[in-house]
Amino acid sequence: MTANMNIELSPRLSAQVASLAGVQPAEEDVAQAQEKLTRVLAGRATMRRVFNARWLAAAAACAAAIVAMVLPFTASSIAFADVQKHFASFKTLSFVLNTKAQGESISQMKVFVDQNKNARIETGKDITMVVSGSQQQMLMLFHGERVAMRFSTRADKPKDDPLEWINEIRTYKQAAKSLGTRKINGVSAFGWALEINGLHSELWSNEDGLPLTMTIQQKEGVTMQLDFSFDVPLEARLFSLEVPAGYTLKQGDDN
Amino acid sequence: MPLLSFPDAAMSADNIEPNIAALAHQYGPLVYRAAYKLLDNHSAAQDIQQDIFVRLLERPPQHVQSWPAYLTSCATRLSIDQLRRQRRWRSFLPFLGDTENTAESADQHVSNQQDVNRLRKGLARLNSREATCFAMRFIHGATIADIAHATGLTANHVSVSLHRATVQLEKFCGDSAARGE
Repeated sequence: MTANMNIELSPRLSAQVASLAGVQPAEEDVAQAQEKLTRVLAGRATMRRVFNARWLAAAAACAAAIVAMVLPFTASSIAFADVQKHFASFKTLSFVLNTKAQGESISQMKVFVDQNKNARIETGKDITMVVSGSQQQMLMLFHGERVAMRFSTRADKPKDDPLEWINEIRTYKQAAKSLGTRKINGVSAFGWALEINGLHSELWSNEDGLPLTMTIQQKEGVTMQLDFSFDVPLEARLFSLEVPAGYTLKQGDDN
Repeated sequence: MPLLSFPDAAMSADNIEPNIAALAHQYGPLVYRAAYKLLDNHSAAQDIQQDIFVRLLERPPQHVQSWPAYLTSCATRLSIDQLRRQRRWRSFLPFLGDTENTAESADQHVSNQQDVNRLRKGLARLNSREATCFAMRFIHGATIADIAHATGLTANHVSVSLHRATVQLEKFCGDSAARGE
């Protein structure tokens, strides 16, 4: 028997095969399955990333980075200086970080920061990270498994310092380019185009300079959008490093 | 359009770190449809679709020559395994017998539906490799070479599997048709 053999089906089997080959699911079922698949993969991808300690540290620094990113811009515009002022003097900052691929939302994070550089990052319903800026500690909570893990956020090796990219932002010398105005949720907004580490970003504020939203265009059609809320009171428990009742503490991987 | 002639835009053969999200975006519906044809069940097809891409995420294969062929092969194999599990399970439940879809068929009196059910039952009786080769070749339209690439079998092995599957299916489907099942 060779690989080139030609297999003929009887008319009866051929008809059965044709019938089965013609079976098609409803398009709404295909779409629903695809939507669920996208959600599942985004959740899994997030889970994989958070087990990487370096990514953890970088993610933990995310909130601080957002605070820091506008500081280095030259104050060539009074209005933009007003925007910087909000980032420099807030008591609390909260934002929702929405990541989209090809226009579809693939993950959402909620980030809360206070003036003491404590941060809390909630990744969907599955994972929460609490970072203490003063203690250089991070607590991760895996809600599905009821597991808690503690990590050090101290960077021992300068070249691996996850905050290094923030320093790069601090040395940013270009002026923010004005994008003019547009309406955001019925509010007149003023925009600036920024280039941060080669990524095109747009920051929009209201007429008082209060930042409203920011988009960061990443590679392969991935876009991150951050919607800001400033000085909304945050409960102290949000930044607690205590392991919640019912959670088991496991050793974290600092490597 | 034959299944395996789809352009493989998401990935090149040399890419050893496939972008699973992009693959899922491009080929998720293909995988779902491949599973649905064999299982005729939304939840089961959805489970297989998720299972395949989660496995890809956790252990991405290297040097895949054709992603649509590879993914269709995975969907087919898992669906065949599911059919075989269903058949084994029914054998432990004599009171259910072989009555799946009987009510539907009785109501419909549609010969196409009977053909489809008969062929699914036949595939569930084959071994997994032979059933996968048969479904890939005749239901999804893959060439023997494509099946060989996607399954890791030699072309000769695929041909032998196809031959065996065809002989058994001809007998089973002919017999069951004669019995009016």
